[in-house]
This record gives sequence, structure tokens and C-alpha cells, in this order.
Amino acid sequence: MSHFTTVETEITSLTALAAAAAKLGKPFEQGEVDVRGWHGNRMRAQAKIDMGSYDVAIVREKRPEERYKMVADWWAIGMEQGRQSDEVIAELTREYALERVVESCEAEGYVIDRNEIAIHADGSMELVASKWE
Amino acid sequence: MRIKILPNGDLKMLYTDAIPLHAIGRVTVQRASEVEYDHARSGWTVKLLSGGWLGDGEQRVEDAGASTPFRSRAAALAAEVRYLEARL
Repeated sequence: MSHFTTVETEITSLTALAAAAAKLGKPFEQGEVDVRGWHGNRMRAQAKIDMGSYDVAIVREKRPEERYKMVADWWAIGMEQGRQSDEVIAELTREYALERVVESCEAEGYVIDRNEIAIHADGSMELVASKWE
Repeated sequence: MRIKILPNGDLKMLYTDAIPLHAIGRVTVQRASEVEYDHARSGWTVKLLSGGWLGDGEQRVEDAGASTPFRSRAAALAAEVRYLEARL
């Protein structure tokens, strides 16, 4: 008996998000940070990802408290980078998910060869976790 | 264990208790198959809930009679996982 499972990834680990941002070459800063938006607009957040002239704010959601969401002046980022907000969020979420999967698997004794991770044209990835039993 | 990370960052895989999926996000589970003993053919068969059975060469067949009876339950389960993981 097998069951297909879908996990709707939620940002709960700033450590994993920092690793994901680093893999994408984006500086990550954690703490009470000042986030840059269009035309000098500013906001405060628990962390931020530097996207160039503007930032993606990582904001703790009120409920549940351990979950974070990405907030930004997406129009300004889109103008500068030529990408829509959903593309940027998806890319960050994919890399975050990869970090969480690897971390979770390794904690349970599984091994994932990062060199063997297949990356498809649509951005999706496939990996195999193995364990010596 | 094969895990697919979808374009939007969600995960798709066969359910496992081996890693804490709930720590990664909201989990949705849907039954994919059933492994049952076929008394008439003295073997284990894999029924796919999307339709059909697992046949020779681990290909889907429409007719239960064309499905492959595995000698052991373990062999049927292993074939079932290989088939489903190839189609995440």
C-alpha cells in the first residue's frame, strides 16, 4: 500500500532560508533588519534577502508564529530583475525546500548525493535519499 | 526514497514516516495503490488506484488477469514503489 504525498512547503527555518539564499548568491541578513523598497520606502522585518537595489522582507506571520512569509516591493524587484514575484518566491522556496529535505533526511541517517540531484527545465528537482540498512 | 521538489517549491513523494514531513509543511496524503493476494494465481498483485494493475516489466495493464503475480509480498511492494516513484 503506497500513498502519494504532497507537502506544501512552509518557511519555518531561517537557517535553511539563509542557506537557500546563499546558494542563489543573494545576501541574507537576520535580526531586526531594515528592508528597502521602491523610492526609499522602508519597513522592518525579522530577516531580509538582498535582491540588488531592493530587498525581500522575511516577516513572521502572526499565526502560527513559527512561520514566515516573503514580502517585498515586487513591482520594483520585477523592474530591476525582469522577473515576476511568483518566479522569485518559487525559486527561493525550491531552494529552501531542498535545504529542509536534505537536513531532514540526513538527521534520520539518509544520504543524498547533491551531485545527483536532477534539475528540470521547469525548475523542479528530483533527488534520491538512500540508507544502508 | 525518491523526492520531487515541484516548480513552486512543494514536495511530492510516496508517504513515509522516515522523515518528519510535517516539519517541512502541510501534508496531503492520497492512496495510490493496493497490494493484495490473488488466491487463484497464488501470488501478490499490485492494483493501481489511478486504474489498472502492475504487469510484466512493471508496466500498467488494464486487465487484472494480465497483472503480474509476485511470489512474495516484499517483491510486490518493491515493484509498486519503483513504479509509483517513477511517476511522481
